[in-house]
Formats: sequence, structure tokens, C-alpha cells
Amino acid sequence: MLPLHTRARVKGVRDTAIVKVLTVDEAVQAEIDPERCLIWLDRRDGNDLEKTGRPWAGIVSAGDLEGDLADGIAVDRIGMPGVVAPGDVIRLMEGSSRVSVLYRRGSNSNTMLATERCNSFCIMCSQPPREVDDGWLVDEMLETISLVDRDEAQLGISGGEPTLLGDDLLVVLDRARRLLPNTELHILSNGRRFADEAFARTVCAVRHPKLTWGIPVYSDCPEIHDYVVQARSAWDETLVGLHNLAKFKANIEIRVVVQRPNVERLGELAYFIFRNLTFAGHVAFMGLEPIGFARANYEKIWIDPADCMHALSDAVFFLANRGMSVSLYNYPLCTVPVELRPFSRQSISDWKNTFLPDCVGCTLRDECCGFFRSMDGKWKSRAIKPVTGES
Amino acid sequence: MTWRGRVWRLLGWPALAAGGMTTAALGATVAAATGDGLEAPGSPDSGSVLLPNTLNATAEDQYAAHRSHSSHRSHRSHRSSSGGVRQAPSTPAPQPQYQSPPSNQAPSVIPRTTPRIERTIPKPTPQDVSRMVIRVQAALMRRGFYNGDIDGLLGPKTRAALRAFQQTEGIPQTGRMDIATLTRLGISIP
Repeated sequence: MLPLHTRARVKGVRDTAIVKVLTVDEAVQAEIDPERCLIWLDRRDGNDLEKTGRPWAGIVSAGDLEGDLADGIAVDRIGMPGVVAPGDVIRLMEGSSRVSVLYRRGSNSNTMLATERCNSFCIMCSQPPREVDDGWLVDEMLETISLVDRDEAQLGISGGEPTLLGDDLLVVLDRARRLLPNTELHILSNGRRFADEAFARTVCAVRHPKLTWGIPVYSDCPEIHDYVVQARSAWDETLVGLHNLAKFKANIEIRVVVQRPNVERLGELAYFIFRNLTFAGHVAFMGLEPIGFARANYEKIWIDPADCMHALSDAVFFLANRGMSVSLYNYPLCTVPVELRPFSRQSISDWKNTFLPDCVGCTLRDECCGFFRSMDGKWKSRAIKPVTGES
Repeated sequence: MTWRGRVWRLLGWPALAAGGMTTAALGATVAAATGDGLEAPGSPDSGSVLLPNTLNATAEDQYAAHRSHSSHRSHRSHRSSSGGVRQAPSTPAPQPQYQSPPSNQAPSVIPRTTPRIERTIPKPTPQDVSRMVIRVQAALMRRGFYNGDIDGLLGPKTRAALRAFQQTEGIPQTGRMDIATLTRLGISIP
């Protein structure tokens, strides 16, 4: 539960700087432009730094840097220690004390923001879209990709709707393919733009070797799906998009956020997925994240996970029995019946994950996804209790 | 008649504006006159005017020189009679260098922010070139001229696709990303 932003004393930044924090030892060996490295110092030790003789971007310290640096960036008095650490990629801005972590070494959930714009308006959206000119995020993604650890296992791209970048998305995918060929890239998209076959073709022609598209289908019933995403014809576009992606051999994950409007037909949705989207490599059924539009639409979307488990059980086993790979995301294990627990994943990003006082004494805590930090009383399932021994 | 209608009548170009496109100069005049976007009154379909494609009208031919690295035969010199357009170099283009700011300055991560010297076109970085190639490959693919990988490399397949497109368009078959070709592909030069 380490946040992605903190305050610090920041000096010497011109415009915007996206830099990688590294210890001297690592920086000397890293194949990164020294001017994009910020040297991590536990205490002021300028001598080591001078000896390397390289034009480092500057220094960063968890403590207090005495005196003035002749040139370059200096970051110290970090508000929340631990937010910035060696290996991380951070963004600094001129005249701002804000330090934003764009990539955190060792995190299970590094995600790059592609855009805040979206062509849907989902009622339970956890990251409500904004109609802003944020083309600069493309450059930020390109900069970030070039500074991510080469052995990073997974990297996500989210939004907003990443496909709204158009050809710029191809540039991002190509950069990731070149620089991070071994890193799984996971992109969250509503898939609607792939209804344009030519666009799907170009995206797949980048041939990123480890790319998965996470695309939601909320119902087998177009009216329900369109209601959830608040866009007419969205279901049609997403379904055509999914088939276009499949035609070009893309890896696809179907994501189903389980909520009041669609819980009744989960079984039918599972049947639909098995019949029509058999090419999906993975199907994830997901609990709600109580933030953004979800909070505003509580009445319309909330259903206690305890009341979803019967429908979930039908859907999950229908697919699993037929050889499809299925997961449950965001459901704490105490809310999940024993037979479904093998499908549960620790899905909640580390920086927004937490546990409750109720969890004290629970034997499953280490395997549990826990809770969204944004959860409060009215989003709490009645099934939550410490699991001890047999249940 | 609305005040905006009066302005349009004064300018006398309703049909031109109905196309939604105009030269930068006209756009500026109209925008200044109406203090608003380009929105013509009356029926937009009456007497449409074919406008010249102004995309890249003021651009410099900075991407035409980039060829695949395997091709090192010397280029013909493209002395251009249309003033202002920079000619392609007559020797193989050197690999563009990443321009590092002097070390005594506060380093800038984004090279584009380095101050420009007047009349000097900043040489595209390898990243800029690869980005442009990707857009060209995608545009050619959408038009059915290219079926290879989208990889940002100006290789034989991409050059062949460029030539095929240029032939269809009736422009010189250079196999290069020159302004005429980029413009016809609908790609603007940054």
C-alpha cells in the first residue's frame, strides 16, 4: 500500500524530467544515458559521485542534502520514505514538489497511463475519463519504457482508452517490443476501435511477442452491456473488435466486472463466451472497485459479493470444465466458497491494496487479494470474517 | 441576418468555408473577424470548392533522406527549384546523433526543448525517424500497399510499398518519405 506520489524538496529541474533512480554502483554499469539517471544517496557522499566522472542528471536522497549542488537535479526531504527507491522511474516537474513514480521496481502492477480520454462512460468506471489534450502522455510512456528494468516481468497500459492514441499506440508497442521483448505487456481496452479491421491489422502487425489485450464483455445481452458502458452499439463494436483481434492472432483476456445489472445473466454470459469467444486465453470475473463513477452509482451497481457467488460458481465452472482458463479478481477469500478459491488471484495492485481489522487471525491472509483501500462500510460484504481452520 | 452572417457576406467566401478547410491566412482572418471557429451560415452543400491540400505546406523535407542502412549507394542530388525546401543530402545520411546538452547546464530529458538556432531544422532523432516510419507503414497498410511487420524500419518491403503507392498517385517513385508522399498519405510532419 505504497502510494505512487509523494512530496519532496526538488531543485534543478527544467521543464519536466523523467529519470531513473539508481545507486552509483548500478548506474555505472547500467546501459542508460547518464543524463537520465538520478543517483540515489543514503547520505551525502559527493566523492564517489565525482569519481565516476559522468554527467549524471543529479542526486536523490531520502534524508537531507546539505549545501547546494552546482548543477543538476537535487531531490531530498522525501515526504513519504519508501515511495522512491533505486530502480524506480520518476517524473519531476519544474516548480513542483511532487514526485510521481511512473515505474516501481518490484511492484506487481506497474501501469502506464495512455490517455485520460475514453469513448465509453462505464457506470462503475474506477478512473473516470476526462476530455483533455494529453498527447504528452505518449512521450511519457516512451520515456518510461526506455527506463524500465530490462528483466521486468510485466507492464500494463491503461487509460482512458489506449486505442484512442491511434498510430501513436503502434509507436508505443514498437518501442516496448524493441526494448522490453521479455516483458509481458497487458493493455486494458474496451476493444471498440478494433471493429475497424484495418486498425486491428496495424496493431497486430507490430508483432509484440508478449502482448495481451484485456477487454471487457459485461453481458451476452447487448442492451445490458451498452447500459453498463453507457454507449450505444458498444457491444456490437467490442464483439466485432474481439473477432478482428482473434483473426490477427492477438492474445485476449475477457474481463467481466460483476455488478447488479449483469449478475443475473452470468451463466448465459459464460455460455456465450464459450460459444463465441473460445479464442480468449483467459476469462476474469472481477469484483467492483469502489472509486470513481462506481461511488456515484452505488445504488445501480452494488450487490454484495456474497449474493454473487452462486451465479459466479455456475459461470466459472461452466468455463473451467470446458478447458477455458478462468480467474476471480478482487474477491477476498472469505467471500468466496471453498470450491471457488482455487480460481482467486491476488489481483489488487500493491499500491491500492489493504487489509481490514477483521482480517486479524485469518489463516488465508497471505493468499488473499485483500481489499481496495477505497473501500468503506457500504461496500463491505457481509461475508467478511477471518477464515480459521476448516471454513 | 446574424452578425456572423454579415461578416461572412463581407468576406464573400461562404462556400469556401463550408468545406471546413481553408488556408491558414484565411482562417486567421475569419477567426479574427468572427472571434469564433469556422462555421458558415446557409446551406453548406451549395457550390463546394475543391481546396488544395495544405497539409505539410510549410514543412521541410527532413524525412526524405532516410533510407535503410543496408542501402549505401550514393544518392542523386535533389536540387530543388522550389525555394525554401531543403535538399536531400548528396551523400548517405549520417546516423543522426542524440544531441546531449552541455554538462554544465541543467540536463533536459526532452531534447526538443533545446533552443533552436534560426533557419536550422533540427535533425530528426532515430526515434523521430522510426516514429515516422511506423506512421507511414500503418498508412500504407490501411491503403492495402503494405503487408509486412510494423517495425519502424525503412526496409525493402516498406520502400517497395512506398513506390507502389507513389506510382498509384502519379508522383515520382522515390521509395522515400518525401513531402509529396507524406502529404498524400495524410501524415503531417511534426
